[in-house]
Amino acid sequence: MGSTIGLLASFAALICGLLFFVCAVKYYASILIALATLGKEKQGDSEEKGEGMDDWRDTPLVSIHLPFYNEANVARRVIQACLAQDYPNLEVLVADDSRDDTIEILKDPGWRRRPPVVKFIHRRDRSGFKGGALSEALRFMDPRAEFVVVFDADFIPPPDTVRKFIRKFREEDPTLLGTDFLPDLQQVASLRKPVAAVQGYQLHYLNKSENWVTRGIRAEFSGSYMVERVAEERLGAMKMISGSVFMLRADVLRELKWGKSITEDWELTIRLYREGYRVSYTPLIQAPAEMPTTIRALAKQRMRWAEGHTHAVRRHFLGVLGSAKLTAAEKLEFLYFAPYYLQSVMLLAGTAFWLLAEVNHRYPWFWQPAFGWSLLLSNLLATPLMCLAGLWLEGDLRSDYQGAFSLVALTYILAPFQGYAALRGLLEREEGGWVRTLKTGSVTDMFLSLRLRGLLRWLTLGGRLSRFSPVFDLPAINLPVRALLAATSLILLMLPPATALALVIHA
Amino acid sequence: MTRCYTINEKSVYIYATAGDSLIDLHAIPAGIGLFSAEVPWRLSPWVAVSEEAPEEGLRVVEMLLKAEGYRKVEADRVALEDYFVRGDERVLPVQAPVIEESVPLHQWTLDDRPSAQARQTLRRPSRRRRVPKPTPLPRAS
Repeated sequence: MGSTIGLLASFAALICGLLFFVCAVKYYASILIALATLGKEKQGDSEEKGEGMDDWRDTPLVSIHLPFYNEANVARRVIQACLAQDYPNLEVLVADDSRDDTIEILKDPGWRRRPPVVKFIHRRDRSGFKGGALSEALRFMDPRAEFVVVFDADFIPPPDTVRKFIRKFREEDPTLLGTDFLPDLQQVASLRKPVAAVQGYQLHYLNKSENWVTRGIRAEFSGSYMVERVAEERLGAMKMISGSVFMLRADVLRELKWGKSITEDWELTIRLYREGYRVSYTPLIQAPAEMPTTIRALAKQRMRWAEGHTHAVRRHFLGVLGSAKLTAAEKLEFLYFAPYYLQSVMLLAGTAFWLLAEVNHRYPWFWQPAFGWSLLLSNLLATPLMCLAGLWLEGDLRSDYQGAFSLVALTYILAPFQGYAALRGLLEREEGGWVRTLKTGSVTDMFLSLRLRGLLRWLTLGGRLSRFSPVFDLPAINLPVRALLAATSLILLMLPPATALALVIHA
Repeated sequence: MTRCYTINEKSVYIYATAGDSLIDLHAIPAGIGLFSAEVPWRLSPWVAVSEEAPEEGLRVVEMLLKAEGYRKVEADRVALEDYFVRGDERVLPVQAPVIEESVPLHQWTLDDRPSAQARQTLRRPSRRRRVPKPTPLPRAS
C-alpha cells in the first residue's frame, strides 16, 4: 500500500514539478534578460538631456480617473497628488461608490478653487464594480481628452508621472501626438503594432516595513515589475494592464469601453490585444502605493484576482489563440498567463508529493532522487531569486532582501486560496462579487525619488534614444552582484536538465 | 447669469458662471438626501447635479438656494450636461428664461419661510455660519 502511494506521489510530483519548471524557466530567463539589459548606461547620462522631448507642440488633455470605494483614509492624499502634477492640461475625475466619510472629503470646496478641474461622480450602488465606476468616469470625461490615466486610491503619483507617460507615448508612437521630430522613430513605430496603453510600475512601497507580509509583497512586486515585465517588454510579449498607474488612449477606450469583470484590467488587456493593439511597459514611471498588511486581506485580494483572471482566460482563450492580430510571442505569453494563479498550487502540490515519495522511497524506474531534489530546488528558488534581482536593480537589496524569504512563505500559504479561486473562475458561469482591499493610509517608508539603477537601453528601441536616459543617483553598479545573480540563475535553470542528463549517462 | 438652478424631473442642476463660486455642498443638509450616499450625484467646479432627488429634498433645497441668491431658470438638460462635462459656459443659453427670481432672505414673508420640518433640517452649524442673520420681518398690518 505504502509503495503504491509512494509511486503515485512520485508521478504526481514529477508532473507538478515539470509544469512549474516551465514557469521557472521563464523566471530564470527573465532574470538573465533583465540583468543583461538594465543598468548598462554610464553614470552621468541624465534625464535632462531628454528634456528636449518635452518641447512638444501641444499638450493633449489628460483625464486622470480615480475609482473610489470607502477610501476615507487615502482619498485626500491621492487627489492632492493628482492636482500637484506638473503637466499643464489635466482634469481629475473621481468615480466614487463610497458609503463612508469619503463623501464629505469630496464635497470639500477647496478642490474647486484652482486648476486643474476636479469632477466627482458619486454612484449609489456598485454595479459593474471598479469597471462600472470607470465607465461612469469615461461617460463624464471631457470629450477633448486624448489620454486617460488611472490610479487606485492608495497610490501617490509623483508630480512628473503624467508628463512621463506622455513622453513614453511619444517614444512609442510619435505620430500619435502630432510631432514631427525624429523621423527615423516614426518609421520604426509605423512597423509596430499601435500602442494603446502604457503601464507604469506599481511601486508597493509605502508600508513595506510594517510586517513580514508587506515585506514579502514588496519583494514580489519588485521581481514582477523590475524583472518579469522588463523581459516581456524586451521580447515583445503580451503585457498586462494592472489596474493602476497606466495611461490609455482615450479614443481606444471610448471604442472598447470598460468591462464589468472583477479583474477589469486583465479583461481589457485581452480585448486590446485581440483588436490589434499592444501595451507597453516602463519601470521608469513609478507611483508608490501601500500593501495589504494581513494574510486575510491578501488572500481575499488574490482570490479575486485569481477568479477574475481565470474566468477571463476561459472566455477569451480560443479567441486569443485563434486571432491573427496577436504575434506568436504574445500568444505564448498568454499561455503563460493562463494558469498564472495555479502556479503556486503546482509548487505546493509538487513539494508535498515529492516529500511523500521520499518518505516511502518509491520512484519510477527512470527517475532518481537526485533529479527530484534538483527539480524542487530549481522551482523553489525561481521566484525568490527573481525578487532579489528586482530589488538589486532598484538599489534596495540590502534593505529589503528579507522580503524574498517572506514571499516563499506567502506562496505556500496563499496557494490553496488562489487555487480554489482559480478553479472557481474556470468553472463558474458568472464571476463572484468584488472583495475590497482596505487601504489604511499607513506610511512606514517614504518614497523620495527614483532610485533605479541605470536602465533605459531596452526601453528606447535598441539604444537609439539612449541619450534620454534617466538620472542615476546611485554609485557605480556593483558588477559582482550582477554576475552572482546571473550565475545563480543560470545554474538553477540548468540544474534539473543537467541532473537528468547525468543520470541517463550514468545509467 | 451667475448663480442658477434648474429642476428637471427628479434632477436638480445647481450651477454658477462667470467666475462665481458654486455653493458649498456642506451647506446643503445631508438629511434632505440630495448629496448623500444613497442618491447618485455629481460635482464639478461649475455644476452640482443631484439625480433622483426626493421631492421634499427638492423643496428644501430650492428654499436654500433662493436664500443663497440663486435664480431658478429653465435650461436644456443637454446643455447643462455639456456644461458639466466641458465647463464651457457658452453652451448655456445666453438669456435663459428666469422662472422665478430669488428672494433674498430678509424679504421672505411669513408664508415663504421654510416649514418647521425644513427649518429643523436647515438648522445645522455650517448653515448658521454661512447665512447672514436675517433682519427682523416687518409686522403684518
